[in-house]
Amino acid sequence: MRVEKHPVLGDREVGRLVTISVDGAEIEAVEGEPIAAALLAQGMIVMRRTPRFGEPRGVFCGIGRCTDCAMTVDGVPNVRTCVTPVKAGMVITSNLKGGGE
Amino acid sequence: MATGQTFDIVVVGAGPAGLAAAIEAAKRGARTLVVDENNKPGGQLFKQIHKFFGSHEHRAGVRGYDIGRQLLDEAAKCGVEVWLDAVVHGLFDSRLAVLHAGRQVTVQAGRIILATGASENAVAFPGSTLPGVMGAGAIQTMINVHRVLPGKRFVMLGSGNVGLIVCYQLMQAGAEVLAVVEAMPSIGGYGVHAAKIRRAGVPILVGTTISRVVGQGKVEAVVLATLGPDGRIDPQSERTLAADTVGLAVGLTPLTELAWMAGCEFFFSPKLGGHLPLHDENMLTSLPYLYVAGDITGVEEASTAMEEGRLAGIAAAESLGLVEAAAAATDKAAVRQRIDVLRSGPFGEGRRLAKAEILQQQALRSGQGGESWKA
Amino acid sequence: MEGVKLTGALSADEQASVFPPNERAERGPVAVIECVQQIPCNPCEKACPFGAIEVGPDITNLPRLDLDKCRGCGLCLSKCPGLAIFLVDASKSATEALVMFPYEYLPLPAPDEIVDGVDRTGRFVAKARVVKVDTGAQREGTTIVTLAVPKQTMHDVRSMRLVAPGEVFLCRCCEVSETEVRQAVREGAKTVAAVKMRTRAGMGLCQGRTCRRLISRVIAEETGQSPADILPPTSRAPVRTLSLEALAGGDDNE
Ligand SMILES: Cc1cc2nc3c(=O)[nH]c(=O)nc-3n(C[C@H](O)[C@H](O)[C@H](O)COP(=O)(O)OP(=O)(O)OC[C@H]3O[C@@H](n4cnc5c(N)ncnc54)[C@H](O)[C@@H]3O)c2cc1C
Ligand code: SF4
Ligand code: SF4
Ligand code: FES
Repeated sequence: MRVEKHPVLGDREVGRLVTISVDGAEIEAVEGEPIAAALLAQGMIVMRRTPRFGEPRGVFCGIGRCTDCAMTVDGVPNVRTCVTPVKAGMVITSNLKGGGE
Repeated sequence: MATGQTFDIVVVGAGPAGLAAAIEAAKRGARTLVVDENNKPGGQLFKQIHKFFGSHEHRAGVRGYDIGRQLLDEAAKCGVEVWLDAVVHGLFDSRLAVLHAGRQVTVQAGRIILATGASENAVAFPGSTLPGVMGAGAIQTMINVHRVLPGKRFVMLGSGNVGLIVCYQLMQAGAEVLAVVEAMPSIGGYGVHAAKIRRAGVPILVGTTISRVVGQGKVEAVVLATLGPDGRIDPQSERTLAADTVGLAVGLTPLTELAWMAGCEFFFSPKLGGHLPLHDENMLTSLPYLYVAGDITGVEEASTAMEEGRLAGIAAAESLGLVEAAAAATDKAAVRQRIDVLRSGPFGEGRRLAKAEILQQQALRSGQGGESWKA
Repeated sequence: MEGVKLTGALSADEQASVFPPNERAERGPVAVIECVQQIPCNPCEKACPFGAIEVGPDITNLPRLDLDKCRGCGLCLSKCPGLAIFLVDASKSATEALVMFPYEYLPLPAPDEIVDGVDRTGRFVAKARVVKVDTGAQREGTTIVTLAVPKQTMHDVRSMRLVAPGEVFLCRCCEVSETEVRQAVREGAKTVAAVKMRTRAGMGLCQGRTCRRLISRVIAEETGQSPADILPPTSRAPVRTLSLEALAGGDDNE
């Protein structure tokens, strides 16, 4: 969910809206925001599954340290989505089956 | 690798400590560079939207991100060069390996000031790896910087200032906070921060912990339990709250990888967050070219971080012969006096004692023939 | 368990240490500085144009208010990062007092709106009328709200809650709201009985016959349990106890 109005920060300045594809679904995102923020705004909180036990993981540290948010972005595996800015037309896959990292 | 560049002083970290250090150094004529791995300068300050404590000399009553902005303007005025999206990944004597916007650059520094801050602690309990369990800092960045709420119903673990403030900011962003859970028998943070969220109806449950988080593939409920006198969970006391997100605000640990890599001496201080680089009253480590400032020297606050930064900036410029000893001494004395004030009172006492211990250790070790302390 | 260190809300003693005497509030508006821990902080001192607040060179000193110097201008309210300063004024009417507090949430109330005046733990104290909503630009996001409250609640009301349109009283006879029931569950009430203890819901004339199911539903929502798992209130406990005993007594076939 987006925080549209805020008592201290004021109304959200909407940047350039672009479309990205996540596991085949087209979603709207703000150019330049971290990919993870765009996913969370859509309520998508599972970003990958662990290679050993296939357990789900989502944003944990939010600053590029824990790698829980890693996804495949434009064919590049293990991209930390919390620190990778959205670009128009990005193709993102979540590797939700696990195992194949 | 790209050709190297040379600066008098290179500061790693553009948080309050790093920016304050760079400003003081540049003001004294040092050619100064600040590098930060983030795209936004200001370190922790950029997600802090509450008004800060401290003395009005330290811009208390001003919101964190405004302090960041003011520091950045001042740095620009003094001619400080700032590289963003620039991660320092190696330190070899006084040379730094920097990955700047995807390019490898080597930077040669006369003096290096490490102001890399601290990173959030994790904590493990059954279910703590489920999507929906996040660091409080991650939540804060999402709501205040990216304007995205990562959930609707939150439970926060930890009642220090970070936990309390993030709860307040969650409600400002429109989320529901069900409870703050604190294992200790009393609230860790300032009463005035606690009072803000209490007035909004959020209970702060001391002597309580999260015994587990349950859910199918994501957080669906949090099981809380009271801790008995022996510190164990009382199973009778278990109860659930239907939350979709759990924030962890269980402290910070100084981010010291670069200091380890440089090979300076360390000291262990539980009160200040763990292992931290031993330093003297000028913020100089056991290596003659390496200074430290801010949360990397022990987790404190933006106000103390700025003052430590100033101290390091002045001292580093002095060691390069850019200022006279007498002038530097006066300036440093003024800063030290302000730091003492910030560490006074019951909330500052633990930090004051821990910091004094660091200086004692340093004096002891340098006294035992540690000529490396003498720059 | 009392006091700001344990609950986040001032204890009665802590309150007594910061309240101005009633005569002072009867004379006109006066600040109430609910800052009782020695934290390194002093913007309030500088904020007051009349020099009524003193912290001193050691900034961990508690702020002291000079009741005679304070003119009740309210400037200090928005400068305190702890949002710990309030203003009370009992001089305007025989039955009502004004309470002013900082408010940093949206949506804001509108003048003349009736809101719930809440205390230091977010609990409902009294219905209150919004007198003023000051969003002055210089306050940078801190709005100062003034409420008119029944005079005897002047030291209890410290914030407000908008009355949600269509908010229902779960307990019709005792007027306990859904918000209050939710709060009780978050504070630790697991059963209808425990909610009753905390909110007095179900203790009215109807003896909980109408509200029981509504309260169970809210408990179920808050705890993520199924309504079937919520224990009925204590009035039914003997039935369960009996049946358990009967079970424990055993059946020859088992
Ligand atoms: C929720 C919260 C509320 C707070 N409230 C207050 C308050 O009211 N008052 C107060 O005084 N303090 C407050 N603080 C504390 C304050 O924010 C910190 O103490 C302060 O920011 C520390 O400053 P710093 O410069 O040492 O580190 P930081 O602000 O953490 O900055 C460190 C910087 O270094 C960068 N960095 C790290 N490693 C590298 C590397 N290898 N290469 C390049 N760059 C690197 C990071 O990206 C970061 O920008 C609060 C903190 C939090 C989390
Ligand atoms: S209300 Fe006005 S006069 Fe009274 S202490 Fe606050 S700023 Fe000073
Ligand atoms: S400004 Fe507020 S929190 Fe700070 S000392 Fe004054 S009353 Fe206390
Ligand atoms: S959430 Fe930790 S690396 Fe992205």
